Amino acid sequence: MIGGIVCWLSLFAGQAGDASWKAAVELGRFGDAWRMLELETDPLLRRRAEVEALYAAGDPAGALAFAENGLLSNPGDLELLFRAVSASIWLRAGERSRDAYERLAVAVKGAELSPDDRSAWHEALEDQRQRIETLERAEDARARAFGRARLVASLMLVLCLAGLAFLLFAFGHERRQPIDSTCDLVG
Amino acid sequence: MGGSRARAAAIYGLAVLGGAGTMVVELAAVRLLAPWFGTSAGVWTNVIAVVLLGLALGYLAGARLAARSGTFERLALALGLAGFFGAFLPLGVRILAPLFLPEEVALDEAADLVLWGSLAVSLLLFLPPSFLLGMVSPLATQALQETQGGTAGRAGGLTLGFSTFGSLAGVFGTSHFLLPVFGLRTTFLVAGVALAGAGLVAGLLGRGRGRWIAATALLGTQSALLVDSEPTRALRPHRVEIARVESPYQFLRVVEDRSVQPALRYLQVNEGFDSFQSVWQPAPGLLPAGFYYNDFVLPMWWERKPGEWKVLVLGLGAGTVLRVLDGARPADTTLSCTGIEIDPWVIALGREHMGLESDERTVLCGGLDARVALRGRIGAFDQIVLDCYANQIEMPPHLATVEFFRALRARLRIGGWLAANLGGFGFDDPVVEALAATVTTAFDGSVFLLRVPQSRNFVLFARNAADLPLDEGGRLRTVEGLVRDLLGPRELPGSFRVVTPDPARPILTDDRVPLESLQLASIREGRERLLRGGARP
Repeated sequence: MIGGIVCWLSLFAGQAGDASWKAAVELGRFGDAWRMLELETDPLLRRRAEVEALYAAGDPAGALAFAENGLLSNPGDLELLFRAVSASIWLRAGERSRDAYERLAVAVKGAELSPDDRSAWHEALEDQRQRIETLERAEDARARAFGRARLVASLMLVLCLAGLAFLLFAFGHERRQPIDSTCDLVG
Repeated sequence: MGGSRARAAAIYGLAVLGGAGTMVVELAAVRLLAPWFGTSAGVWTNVIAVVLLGLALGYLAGARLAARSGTFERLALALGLAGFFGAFLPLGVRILAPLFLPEEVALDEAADLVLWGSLAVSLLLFLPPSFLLGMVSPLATQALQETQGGTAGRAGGLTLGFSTFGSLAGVFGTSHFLLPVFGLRTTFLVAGVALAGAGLVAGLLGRGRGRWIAATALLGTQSALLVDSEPTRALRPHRVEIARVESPYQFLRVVEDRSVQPALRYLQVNEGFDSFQSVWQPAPGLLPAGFYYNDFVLPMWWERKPGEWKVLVLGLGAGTVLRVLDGARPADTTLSCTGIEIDPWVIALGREHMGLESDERTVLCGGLDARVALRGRIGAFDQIVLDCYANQIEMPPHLATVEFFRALRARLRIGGWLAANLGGFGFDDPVVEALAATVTTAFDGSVFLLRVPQSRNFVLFARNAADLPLDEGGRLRTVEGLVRDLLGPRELPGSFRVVTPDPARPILTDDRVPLESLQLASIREGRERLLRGGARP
């Protein structure tokens, strides 16, 4: 996990300008990284870095919240979209990750990228697509299992109630038998 | 007359076995479902409801059949078939449960699936034997009356008396003897053979084909021996089972994960979601990131009190906390531990497979409930660790009340620490909020919660009449040394929260502790809560 994050951070090493916060994140000095980010004047760069720091700190819910907040003002930002997808996958939110993934795919298609960067993005997209599909298969299996369980349980309960009603009805309509004369009523 | 007495005695015996068989099915059924659905109150309710439904149907059907001739034949049939079904229940669960609970389901996705899935499996598997066993009492009553005469009330009372006595024996025998000694599969096999054998006796008492039917059923139950029907979930790839035990409390197994280096061992308990109760790595000390046990080390480093550090661990499990504390303590601190665990089998597995050791500084107490154990502990502990859970997520209600936390506080020295593991999806999670409010009341002061990275756990810290480790800016005081990295992620916003006493906030008391509904709400709303950011400032 951490190795992947470091690789991902290095992908953007040339874009963020000051990489010192990244070094702090890699060292686990998240407080220092956050304080450095407070000095960042570009709101987009700052938001991207905050998302990365939260994700690296093992807080996918925080990373997703910050990424989605950043996307309100920068809806096509590749890095924020990428983290929105990753964090949604981590949280096993299939629909949310699919939605962010589709936005990311459109954004990558329309972005002006060098051939190397485009190739890297396509690899990242492919990896995410596979993980989302795995998630969706699991969600689908869960939905089918739930439907199956509800159907079987409901059917069985209806059958039982019908059986119960039948037995009670049968008792209500059975012919009374005379008391067995061999029965010792005194005991 | 003598023949009539012998027949009556045989009928009493059938009633006893019918009652015992019913309780074996009911009690062991929950254990059968546990590897998939856990043993939460919802699962228990489903199993009990299905068994009662089966019995009700069986009583009515039995009453109807009792009016016809051939009572012993029908008794033979009911007992023989109940035995046959019973012997194959472990195999049935193994086949059916995965249909209703697929692999890779996260805990927060499983709440509804567990309830409906356990109900469906229970109806398919436990209804038929319960129905057949329900028929035994009215048929036995009829058989008794045919044999001895007398009133219906006399025959019914005698049958019920013997049947209930059998149920009593079934309850104690299943929990305290059959399951721990023989395990689930053999318990059902023993019950199946006993019931089918009883069917054969009933068949012999009659004159018709009943004996042949029961004999066939008896032979059929033996075939359960030939099938691999271990009622456990398959392990994930690279995981190897090291040991397994059916304790009086739960199903336990030690599993080694060889996909990581060094390999980690997990103690799994009744688990349907691949969660665990304890974790072991070869060397004592901090575990990889994401394990809440690491945070229990922090008080020693925040306080830096040289010399002895006395810890009481409630919910010891297989000893993970002890190994983490021992391996990550400051060099000038010596550890003195008392560990309490309700299930002595857990301690036995810990000793054998997870490096748990007792010596003059480490006292291990198995078989004690945490609250009961607390009554006998006098002394001033430096730290109490509370890590008591059942069924993955359920904190026992009597260990979550203000009275309990006051009792904990009374056993801490001034400045001593309470560190409690809480499961939840955010700072505004209903369970986390309720427990934090309860502890603030018990400790008459603020507490703070740490979010555990990469997990859905929080660790709550409270101090007995001393300040929390916060600096002037309200941030967590940093520590140096071995555990410096633990606090790194907690320097980010939204990773910890101080909770101050608020008399308006409801707390949990011995009189009213709706923990189960809070836990259900926590799970149902968990996903949404996470996707909202886990309630960060």
